[in-house]
Amino acid sequence: MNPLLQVTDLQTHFFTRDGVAKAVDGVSFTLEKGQVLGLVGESGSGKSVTGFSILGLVDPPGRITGGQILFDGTDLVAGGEPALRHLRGKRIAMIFQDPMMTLNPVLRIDTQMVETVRAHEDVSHAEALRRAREALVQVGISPPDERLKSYPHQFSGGMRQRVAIAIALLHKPDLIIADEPTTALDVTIQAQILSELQTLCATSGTALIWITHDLAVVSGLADRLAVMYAGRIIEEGPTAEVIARPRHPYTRGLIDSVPRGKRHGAMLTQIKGMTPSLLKLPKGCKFMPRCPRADRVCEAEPSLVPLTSERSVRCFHPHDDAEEVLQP
Amino acid sequence: MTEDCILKIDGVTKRFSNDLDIAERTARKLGAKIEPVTVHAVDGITLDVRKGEVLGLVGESGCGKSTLGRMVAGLTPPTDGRILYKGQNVAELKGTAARDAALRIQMIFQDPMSSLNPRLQVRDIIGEAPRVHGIVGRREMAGYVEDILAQVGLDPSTGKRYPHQFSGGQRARVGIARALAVKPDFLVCDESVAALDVSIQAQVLNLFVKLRQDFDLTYMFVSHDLGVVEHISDRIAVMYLGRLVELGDAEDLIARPNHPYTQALVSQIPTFETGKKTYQAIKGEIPSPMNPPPGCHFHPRCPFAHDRCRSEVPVLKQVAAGRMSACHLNDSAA
Repeated sequence: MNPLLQVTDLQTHFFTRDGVAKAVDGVSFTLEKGQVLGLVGESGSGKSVTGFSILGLVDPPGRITGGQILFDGTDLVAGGEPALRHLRGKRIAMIFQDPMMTLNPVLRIDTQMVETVRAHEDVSHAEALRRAREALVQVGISPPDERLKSYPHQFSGGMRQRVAIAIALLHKPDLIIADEPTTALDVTIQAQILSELQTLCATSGTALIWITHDLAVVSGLADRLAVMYAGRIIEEGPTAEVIARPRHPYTRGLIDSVPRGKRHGAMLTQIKGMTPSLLKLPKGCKFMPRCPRADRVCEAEPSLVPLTSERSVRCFHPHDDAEEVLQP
Repeated sequence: MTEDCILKIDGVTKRFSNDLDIAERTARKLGAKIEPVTVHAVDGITLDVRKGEVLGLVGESGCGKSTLGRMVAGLTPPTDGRILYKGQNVAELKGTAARDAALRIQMIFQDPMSSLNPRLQVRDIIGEAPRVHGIVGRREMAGYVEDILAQVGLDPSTGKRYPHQFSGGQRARVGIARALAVKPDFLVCDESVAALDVSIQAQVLNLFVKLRQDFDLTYMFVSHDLGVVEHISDRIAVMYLGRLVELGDAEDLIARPNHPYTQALVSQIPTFETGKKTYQAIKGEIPSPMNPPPGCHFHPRCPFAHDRCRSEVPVLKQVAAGRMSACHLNDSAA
C-alpha cells in the first residue's frame, strides 16, 4: 500500500536581498494513514515551513524549488494550486498556532464553518449548519447552538483553538497539520486539547503532523519523531527509540536541556552557542560549531543514514545505541 | 525564621476597576444600575521570601502572579496590605531610603524586545541607571559595563550594539545585565525564559543559577512552566485566581502535591514519554477573575468538591512541616 504522504527531497528557499535562505533543504519523510508524526525543532529549523510547503502556503519571497510531495499518489508540487484547491480544508487541514489569526474576527463562527463545509460540498445551508454543530460537540464546546452564533473574540484562547480544530475536522480530513497549536495555551488547557486530538485521531484514523519545539509535549502523542536542525532532518525514528536512545548529539542536547526535576538546582547540560543564521550556515555538518563530538571529518556534509529499518541519523559520530538517557 | 526573611508580603490585595465613561456616569445619575467592574487580580496574599532562596511563583494566565511580581518590584502599588522589605514598609519610605529600597529590588521582564529601548546602545541601557543613581562615576562607566556584560556571558565588545542586533537569548542576557547594574539583592523574574528556545532556555537558566551564587541574590521566579520552576526554585507558591492555594518545598511539593489544583498541574507537566501517554485533562476553564465563583475558587473544576467548598473560602494553613495548603479536604481528613 502506498503511504498517505511521501515527501522526497523537499527544498523550500527564501530569496531575500541578503541572499538565499534555505529554510527547508532536502527534507524527506513518509507518513502512513492514521500515524502521528512529531516534527521537532527550534526556531528557524524549518519545521513550520515544511508544514506550510505541504499545503502550498509559502509566500514570496519563499518558493518550493525542488522535491516532491506525494499525497495519496498526487504530486502537490507539480500539481500546484489546482491540485491543492481540492485538498485544502477537505483532505488536508491545518491548525495554526494562533487561532485569533485564523478565524475571521468580523464573522460569526457559524458563517465561517458553513462556508468551509460548502466550499467543498454541495449541501444545503441547514445541512452544513448541522455538520458545524456536530463538529463543535465533538471538540467539547457547549452549548453548541449558542456558541455557533458567537464571534471569535467572545471565546477564550483555549475555546478558540477548539473552534479552529472543529473547522479542521469538518470534512473528516485524512491529514491534519498542527503547527504549535498548544504553545499559546495554559498547561491545563493544553492537556485538554492534547487529549481531545489524541482521541479524535485514534477514532477517525486521521494522520497528524504535530509541529513543535517542545519534545516533551510531543513524546506522549507521536508514533514517530523527526528532529530538524537548520532546514534538515537530523534524526528520525519511533518516538520511544528517539527519546530513550537519541543518537544525534543535537537530539541528546535538546533532551538534556529540558529541566527534568531529578537534578534540582544543578546546572543543566546546555548546548553551547546558538542556532546559526540560515544565510550564513557553516560548511559541512550544520551542527558542527556547537557539537561536543565534532572533529575534522565533520567538515564534510553528513547524509541521513539509516541505522535500522526504522531509524536514521545524520551524523558521522552518532551516540552509541547502548547509552540510555532516560530510564523508562 | 524572621531574621532571614528578606521580603514579607502581608495581606496584599490588588484590585483593578474601570472608570465609568461620561455616558455611563450620566446614566448612573439618572438611576441606571451601572457599577464599575472590579477585578481582584491579587486577593489577600501573605508570603515570606527568605534571604538567598529562589521562590517560584506558578499559575496559569490570569491568576495574578505577574501582578504580584510587579507589586514586589514596586511598579504598581498594592490596593491593600503591605510589602515589607527587610522589615520596612516600602510604600512608607521617603527620599533616599525609598530610592535605595527601590534599587535593591529589580525586575527582569518576559520580552526583552519591548523592555529595552530600541534606540539606545546596550552600554547606555545598562549604564544609565547606575550613572543616574551615582553608583558608578562617569570615568569608570566603560569598565563597569564591560564587567557586567562579561558576567552575563556576553562579549564586552558588544556594548556598542543596539538591542535588535542581538539574538533572543542574548537579549535576555542584556535584560539581566540591566537589572544587575544597580547592584540589587532581590530579582523578580517574570516569565524570563518563556520566549526562548529549549537550548537557549537552558543556557539562561544556568546563568540565573550562576549569578545567584556570584552575587548572593534572592529570586522570585514567576512562570507558568512548572518544569522550569521546579528546577530552579527552593520553594514553590501556587496561585489560582488571585489566591495562594499551596506553598511548600519545591521537590516535596512536586512529589506530593496536597491541593487538587496543584495535583492537576503536576500531572500535566509534559514529561518525556517512551510510550503513548493518555492525557488526563482537568475539566473546564479558568473562570473569569471579574466574576470568580464563591467559596473555593477552584471548586467548579475540582473532582473532590463538596458543599462546603461552594460557600466557604478555604484558608491557607499548615498541613505538614513547611507546607501550606488552602483546601477543605485537609480538615475532613483530620
